[in-house]
Amino acid sequence: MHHRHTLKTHLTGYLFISPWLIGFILFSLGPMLLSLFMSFTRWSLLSPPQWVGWENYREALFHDPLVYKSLWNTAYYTVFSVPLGVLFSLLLALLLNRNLKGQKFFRTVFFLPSVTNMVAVSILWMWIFNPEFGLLNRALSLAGVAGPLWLQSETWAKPALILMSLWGIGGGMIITLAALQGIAPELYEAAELDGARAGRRFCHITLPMISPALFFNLIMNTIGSFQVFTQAFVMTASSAEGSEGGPNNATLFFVLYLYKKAFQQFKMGYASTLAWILFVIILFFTILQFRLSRRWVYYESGGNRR
Amino acid sequence: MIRPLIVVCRTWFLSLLFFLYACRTSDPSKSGVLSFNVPANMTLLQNLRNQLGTFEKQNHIKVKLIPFTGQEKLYAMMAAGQPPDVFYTNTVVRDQLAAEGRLLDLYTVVAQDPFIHEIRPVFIERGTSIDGGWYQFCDWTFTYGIYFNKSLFDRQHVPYPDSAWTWQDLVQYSRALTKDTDQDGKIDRYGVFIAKHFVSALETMNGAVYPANALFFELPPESRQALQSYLDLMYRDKVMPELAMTQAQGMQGAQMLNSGRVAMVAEAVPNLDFITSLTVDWDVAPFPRMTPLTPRYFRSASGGLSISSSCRNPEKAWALIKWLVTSSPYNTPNPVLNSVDVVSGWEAQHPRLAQTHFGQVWRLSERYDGGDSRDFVRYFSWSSNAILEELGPMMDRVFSGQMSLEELALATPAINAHARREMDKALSNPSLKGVFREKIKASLQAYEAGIHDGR
Amino acid sequence: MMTNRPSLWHWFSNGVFYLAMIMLSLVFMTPVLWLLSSSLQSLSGVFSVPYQWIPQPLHWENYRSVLTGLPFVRYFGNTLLITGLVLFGTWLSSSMVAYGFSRLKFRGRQTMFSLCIATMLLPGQVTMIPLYILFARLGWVDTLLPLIVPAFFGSPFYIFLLRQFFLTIPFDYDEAARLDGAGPWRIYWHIILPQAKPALATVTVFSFIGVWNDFFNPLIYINSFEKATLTLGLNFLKTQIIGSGVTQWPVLMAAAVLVLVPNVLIFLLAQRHFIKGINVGGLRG
Repeated sequence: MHHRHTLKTHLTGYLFISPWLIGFILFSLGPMLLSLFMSFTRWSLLSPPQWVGWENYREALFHDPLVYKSLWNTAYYTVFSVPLGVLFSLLLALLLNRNLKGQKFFRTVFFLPSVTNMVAVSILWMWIFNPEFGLLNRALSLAGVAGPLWLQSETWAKPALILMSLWGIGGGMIITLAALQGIAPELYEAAELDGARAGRRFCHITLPMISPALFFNLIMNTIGSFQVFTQAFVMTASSAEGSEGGPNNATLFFVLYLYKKAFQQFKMGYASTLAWILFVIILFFTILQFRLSRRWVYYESGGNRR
Repeated sequence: MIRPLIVVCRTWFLSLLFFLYACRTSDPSKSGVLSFNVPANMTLLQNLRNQLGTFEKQNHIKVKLIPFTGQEKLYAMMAAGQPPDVFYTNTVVRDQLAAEGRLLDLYTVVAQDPFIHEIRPVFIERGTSIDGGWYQFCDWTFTYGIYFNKSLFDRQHVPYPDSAWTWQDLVQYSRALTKDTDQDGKIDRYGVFIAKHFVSALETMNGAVYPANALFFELPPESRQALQSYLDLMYRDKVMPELAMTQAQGMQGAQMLNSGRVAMVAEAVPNLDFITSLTVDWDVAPFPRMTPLTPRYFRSASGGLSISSSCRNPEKAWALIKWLVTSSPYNTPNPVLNSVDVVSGWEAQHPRLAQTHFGQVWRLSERYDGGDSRDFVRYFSWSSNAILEELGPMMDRVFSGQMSLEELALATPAINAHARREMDKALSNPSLKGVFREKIKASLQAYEAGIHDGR
Repeated sequence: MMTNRPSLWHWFSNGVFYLAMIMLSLVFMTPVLWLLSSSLQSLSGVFSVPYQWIPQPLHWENYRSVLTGLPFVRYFGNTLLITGLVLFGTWLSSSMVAYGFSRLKFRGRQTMFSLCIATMLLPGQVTMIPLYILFARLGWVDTLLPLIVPAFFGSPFYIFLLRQFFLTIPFDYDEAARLDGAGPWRIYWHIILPQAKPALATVTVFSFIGVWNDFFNPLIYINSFEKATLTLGLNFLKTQIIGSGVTQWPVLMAAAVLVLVPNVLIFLLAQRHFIKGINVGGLRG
């Protein structure tokens, strides 16, 4: 296993990652550094930025109640939609992985929602949440429950968006399914020869083998949830411009707030500050998850070693 | 190993060459082209494209239409130093852009042009910013009215609203029209629906006056009264569906009228798309009078066309705007102009209008113009973003009955303190044009001194 | 395998399975069915109580309004061109990079990978303007290049996804190939890629859908009427309708259905490769 780590092996590695590396330098690094720089400035997009040091950060962290309101909203959304999303996509994928007739159809059905255009989906769900004509409240009224106003209710707007996010778990499901399909059948055959029961087979073969995919879903769902934007932007805007954010700011998510600062109030500098604060928050959770992943994510030998 | 390595290296070398080749700053604002970021629907766009040729020939310039609009797009273009020559601005954006020197003061191109006398002075005023510069050609205006379903009125033997009707009439008619038709304890038909963005029209009608370009939020007694009357429709008289409900339903005026769920709906006059989608027998009345005073009808002009200060052919851009409002299919006949007979023009285009009181509503709004429509300082002034950030959530609570108007009035100082802080920040922006800084400062001082400017 | 179990149990478990699947499908399908049904409604039909699932009559003219309301074929072609090139670029670059990150050892790999992940953490809203300025400097505004070229440099999302999959492929394969004298390029091309077919199919589906439905990038980079993509064009239709105060919901829904169709097709195509993945795995070993 021990090769000489010559210059050539390093070079080969860099050659393989060179597309990303070059793209990173050309298209990502500059904009990222620029936005970091802008977070220390006042920049209206219209005239040269003006250096203000830590002022934006002080403002955001100590004087802006909407920062905390939107962080709370975002955390609320994340805490529910991420674990539920990962769990349900796993369950669905397991159901769909059984070798039975009709799976092709079911897979398509479950995946359909996540391929539908986000704006169309949002409009669709505005209907579903429609308190009078909407499917949801009609179904609830069949059960004798008077449904809430959903998106126009301060209490129910966030749960409504979480519910909607669960409908779109098809993406996570497909990734998990692809992982399940990738497990070599001989692993199961060997386990069966050893007399392992279904529960054990699941815990000792299936879960470890798909854990990298689950980990991917977890990380990407976390990032996606912290950056939730489109649904709230489309669905909870009322008629007046600049009023996105739902009833009494109930769905003012962090990125939505950031967006409003940048593109409605000409505060690109402050928006950059908010973005970098969010960056640090997501970074914390991502690092945490990567650390924790060492305990439960199984990679083929050699993957983690250096 | 070596061969693929060579292939990869060669590929990257070539792509780098291509990249470097592409790295020459091209300037799209070639002198012979006028770019126009047009907010248009497909029909209008097709018409414009068909007729633009005549304009291009007459003025010896090519016009490039950029039919995709969005704030992000416009700002991105500006930040990259390539703004379109002509684009649409609303009042908030206009003031911000003008203050940083991004817009052309139209007076600099039109001073010699007799066409300026064609424009109704009030619309020049409306395009004028706090520093006295004219940065926006108001390309459109409309007033508001109450559209109603005649057959529902007939069925309940309620007289049709007329030009003299009052708020009391509106409430009374609405009571008579509100019905639980299937007697399940839930109201199926409401008398009236007035969306919340029409509240400013009610305030104007009730005599509330906001100074142009005012920087702070005010809640004068007239406004408060109008707001209270509005809330009473929902919560006291229960003749109007609650706002949160209608908003959650995503229902719009036309659907409410067509489905018979509401007998009267407030809407813009004339809103041609609205009118053409009505399937019931309808007529329109002006907003009801709220005081014994002379009526003041709200006239909206929340935006218009601006010319970029970087435009190389300002005269041609001005010619384009002129052409747009006079002879193009863009918003013509245009009420912004003196000599235009708007009523006959629209009645000719839409014969259905001639059978209604549209003409009356329109002429009334011209005779009793409610004044500068930016008087709705909450939405259209220099500091409206800051005001709205505080006020928006409060209004949500007011409209849903969770906050009283007394509490709103008490919150005014806090709202204005927030606005004040934002203005201070704006003043410390070194790229703010001097005139703007002086005017804003003066306005702030007046505010500090407790004198509300313009009063 | 299951010889010691009565077939009655088989029956029962399958029955439960199908029951559960059908119930779940209903939950997931209802909104989509509603989308279909509403795209054939009249405007008032959309708000009718009780709701008529099969509109009477079927308003096919909603689809006609979409198809004739804008240069549909042209926009379809533009989108197809962009999507095709992006797919090609993503396959090529992302899989290569993921291979580097998962199966090659080189100094700084972990740092590089962390950087790659980190680029996803910053909300795009703040890097958008600097990126636009960059592309404007390159003279790429109002061309399709900003929508295509970045894909050839790999996307962190797909790189991460593929890396996760590559890491589940046993390293014995590489070892065996290496003993046969294969270099990393051969291993990448002949061993890893065929093994990762389900993953590549996933990437294909995601990438296709991402580009096909992208609204934001076309909006800011495209200026000319002729160069628009389908989503941008459809939004055009929407502004036309919504801006007027009367939302033609059925037409909007018809547009959403039309955009949905290619997405479903690509999924059905890719689905075959999920299944193939099993066979490849089964043949080896």
